[in-house]
Amino acid sequence: MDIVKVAKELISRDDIDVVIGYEKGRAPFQNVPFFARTQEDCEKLVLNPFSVHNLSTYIRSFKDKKVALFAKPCDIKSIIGLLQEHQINREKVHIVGINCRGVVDAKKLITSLKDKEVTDWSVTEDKIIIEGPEGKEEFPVKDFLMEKCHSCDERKPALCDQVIGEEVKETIGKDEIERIKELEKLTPEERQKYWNSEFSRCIRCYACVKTCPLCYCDRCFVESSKPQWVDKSNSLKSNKAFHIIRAFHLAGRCIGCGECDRACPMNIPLSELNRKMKKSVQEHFDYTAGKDPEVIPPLSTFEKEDKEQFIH
Amino acid sequence: MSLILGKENLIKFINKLSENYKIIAPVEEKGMTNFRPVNSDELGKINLTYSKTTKSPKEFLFPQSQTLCSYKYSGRDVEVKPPEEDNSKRAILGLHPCDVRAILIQDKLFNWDYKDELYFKEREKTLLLSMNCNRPDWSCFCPSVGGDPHNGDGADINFTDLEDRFYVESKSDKGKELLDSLKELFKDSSETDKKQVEELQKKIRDRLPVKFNSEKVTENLNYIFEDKIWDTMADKCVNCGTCAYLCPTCHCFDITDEGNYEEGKRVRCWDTCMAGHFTRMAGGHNPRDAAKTRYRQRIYHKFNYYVKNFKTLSCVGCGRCISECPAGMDLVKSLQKIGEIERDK
Amino acid sequence: MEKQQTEDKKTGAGWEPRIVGFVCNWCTYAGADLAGTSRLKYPPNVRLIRLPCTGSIDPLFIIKAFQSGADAVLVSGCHPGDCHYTSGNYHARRKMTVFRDLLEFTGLDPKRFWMSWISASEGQKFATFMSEIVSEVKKMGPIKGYNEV
Repeated sequence: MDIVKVAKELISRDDIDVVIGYEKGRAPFQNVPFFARTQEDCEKLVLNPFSVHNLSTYIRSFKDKKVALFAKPCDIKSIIGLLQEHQINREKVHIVGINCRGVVDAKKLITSLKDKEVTDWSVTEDKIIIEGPEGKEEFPVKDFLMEKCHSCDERKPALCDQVIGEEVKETIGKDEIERIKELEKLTPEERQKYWNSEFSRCIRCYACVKTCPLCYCDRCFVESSKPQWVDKSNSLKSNKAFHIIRAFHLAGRCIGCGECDRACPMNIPLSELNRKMKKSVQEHFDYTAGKDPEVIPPLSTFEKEDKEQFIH
Repeated sequence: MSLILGKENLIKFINKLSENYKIIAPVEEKGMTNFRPVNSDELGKINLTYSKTTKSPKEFLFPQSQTLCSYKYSGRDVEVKPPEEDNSKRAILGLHPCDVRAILIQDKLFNWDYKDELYFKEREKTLLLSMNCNRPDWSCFCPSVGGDPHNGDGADINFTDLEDRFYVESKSDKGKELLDSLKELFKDSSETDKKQVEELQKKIRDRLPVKFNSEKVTENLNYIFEDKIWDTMADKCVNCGTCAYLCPTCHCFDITDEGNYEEGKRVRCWDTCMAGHFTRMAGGHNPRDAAKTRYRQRIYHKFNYYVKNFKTLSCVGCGRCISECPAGMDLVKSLQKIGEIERDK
Repeated sequence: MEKQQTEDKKTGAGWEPRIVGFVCNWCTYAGADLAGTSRLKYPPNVRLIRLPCTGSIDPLFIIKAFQSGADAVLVSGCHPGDCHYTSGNYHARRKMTVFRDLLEFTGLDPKRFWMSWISASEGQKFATFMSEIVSEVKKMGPIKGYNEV
C-alpha cells in the first residue's frame, strides 16, 4: 500500500488541490495531519496505526477547493454525517478509504512506559518499536489500541472513491456501551458526584468542540453573549450546562470517532455522554448515525407514531 | 547559602511550611499531574518527579475566573461589593524553572500600563519553591528561549533532586528567612554535593540542545509579516484554546457579567486570541478571520512584540502548547522555519 | 429565587417546591387560564413560562431552570395532531425523549422532569396534574446539587 504513489497520482489531477493525510511529527506515537499540495509534499505522507486524527474536520475549511483525504472507516462515518447535513459537497471530496485494524492510543502507551527514556519510535502493521538508550523494545499494537477500536464493528470504509489496504475481517467485539450500562446502574446521586468531579476539571478550551467534525457551527451556543446562555467562566455550573447541551446537540449525530476524548487536555471522558445519546437514539428511534448519507437525522424529523411513554 | 534536605525529612519540611502557608503542590490524578491545594493529610500524594504538569501554575496568581465585584439589589438600592479578601499565604512547591520564569514575565505585564492589584495581591502572598527539572520531555525547549532546566532564579527557594536527598538553595530574602527558621531539618552541603549537582546539571542541559536562534527569529519577524510562509503554517490548527490556556505566560482575558436582575457579579476570565471570534467586532467585521492570521499573531506577540515592549520573549519553552495540541501543531518547527529565513541584503 | 430557596432549605420547615413550567401558548397556557376562570383549586407552586409552541423549547431553558433552583420542570403542550404550528409538538416529543435520558444520565432524578399534553379545554386536567406534580416533588424533597455554583 504505497500511499505516496496514491497521493502523487491524486495531486497530479487537475481537479484536486490538496491531499490531506498524515506525516510523522515529533509527538511520540502519533502522526500529525499534513496537507500535501505538491508532488514533493506527498513524499512526507505516512499511514500506519499512529494515524489517529479524524481528518474530516478539515474538509469544510477548504470550501472552494477539491480535497482528497485519507479516511479511516470511523472518519468516513463523520463524512457521511456532514453529507446528511449538507455541509460538504460530495463531488468536491475524494475519499481514500482505509481498511483499518485500529489506531494506537498514545496517552495509554506513554503512561505505561513511565520513566523510560525514548529517543525514537516507529510502527508496523502490528508492532510498535521503541528505541531508547538501552536498545529497542517492541510492543504489540493491539495492546495499545484506542478505546473506540475495541468496539469497532466496521473495519472497511462504508463510502469512498478508492480503497487502500487489505480487507480486515476480524473485530475485537467489545461492547461499546458496557461502560454506559455501568454508569446507568449507579444511583442519580452517584452519577451526579461522578459528573461533577469530571466537569469541575474542564478549562473550557473547546478542544472537544473544535476537533469534532460535526461541531461545525460558526457561532456555538456557548459563545453567544446576547443572550448569555452559558457563563464564560469555568464554574462547575456553566461547565455542566455546556457539556450537557453539547451532548444533546450531538444526539443522533455523533458517530464515535473519539476525537473529543483524545483532544481533551484534562482527560474528561466526554465520549461517555455521546455514547449514552447514541444508545438512547438507537433505543427510541432505531437509528445509528454515520450509515446513510440520504437519511435525515432523527432529531430533525419525527414520526406520528413516536413513543411517548413518559408523557402524561 | 546551600543546604541538604534528606528525603526522609521532606514531609516534615512541608508540614512545617503548612503551619504558615497553604500548600499548593503537583499531584498525579486522572492520568496527569497538576498543581492543586494539598491538605496536610494528603502530603503523600505530592509528586515532585513529574516531567510536565498539564496546566501551568499561573491559575494561582491569575485565576481562570476571578470576581471583580458583585452587586445586589434590595428594592431600588444596589450594593456593589469588592471581592472577598483572603489574606492567607500560599507556598507553591515543585515549580520547574520554566514556570518560575513565566511568573517573572507575567509580573512585567501586570505592572505595565496599569498595576493589576488583584494579580499582585496574590503574588505578594505566594512563596515560590522551585525544583530543578530532571525529566525534560520531547516537547521542552527552554534553552532555545533563554531558559535553563537547572536554574531557580526568580524563586524564593530552589531544590535539586539528587535521588536520596535534595540540594536546597535560598534565592531570595524570604527564602533565606524561611530556611533559617527551619534550620533543624537541614544539613550543610558539602563539596561532593555541589559536584553531584553540577554533574546532574550538565547531564540535563545536554539533553536539551538549542533548537533555533530566538534572536534571529525576533529579527526576522520584523520583515516577514506578509510572507507566504504563513499560508500553510497553521493548516492543522483547529482554533481551540488549549495552547493559550495551558501556556504559563498567556494572559488575555475577557470581562463578563454573570447573574440576574437581583444579584450577580462581574467576572474576569481567560480568553484566547486563537478563538475565531476573538477579534470579531460589533459590526461583524473580524480582522483576524483566517486561522493563519491568528497563528501569526500568536508568534508575533510572543517572539517580537513582547520583546519590543518588555525586552524579553513571552515564551519559556515549557512545550505544553506542543505536547497538548490536539491537532499536532508544533511551535518549535514553525520557529525553526522562521529562524532559517535569510534576508536578501 | 436562589437565596430564598437556600434559606427555606436551611429552616427545613415549610419548604415549598418551586416548579417551572414551559407551556405552549395555544393549548396548555389556555388550559391553565381555564382552570383559573373556573376557580379550580390547585397548589400555587408552578411558575408558568409561556412559549409559542413546545417545539420552540430549547433544552438549554430546562437546564437553566434547574440551575436557577427549580425543584422540578414541566413541559406541556398541545396533543399530537393538534399543534397550532402543525408539527412543533412532534419535534418536542422526540427532543424531550432523548433529553430526559441525558438529564437522568448526568445525575438528575428523572421524577423531576415532567411532560404532558394538556389542551385548552382541559382546565381540570391541568389543575389535577399540578396537584400531582407538587405532591410527588414534595415527597422527593428539595433538589440537591444540580444548582451548584
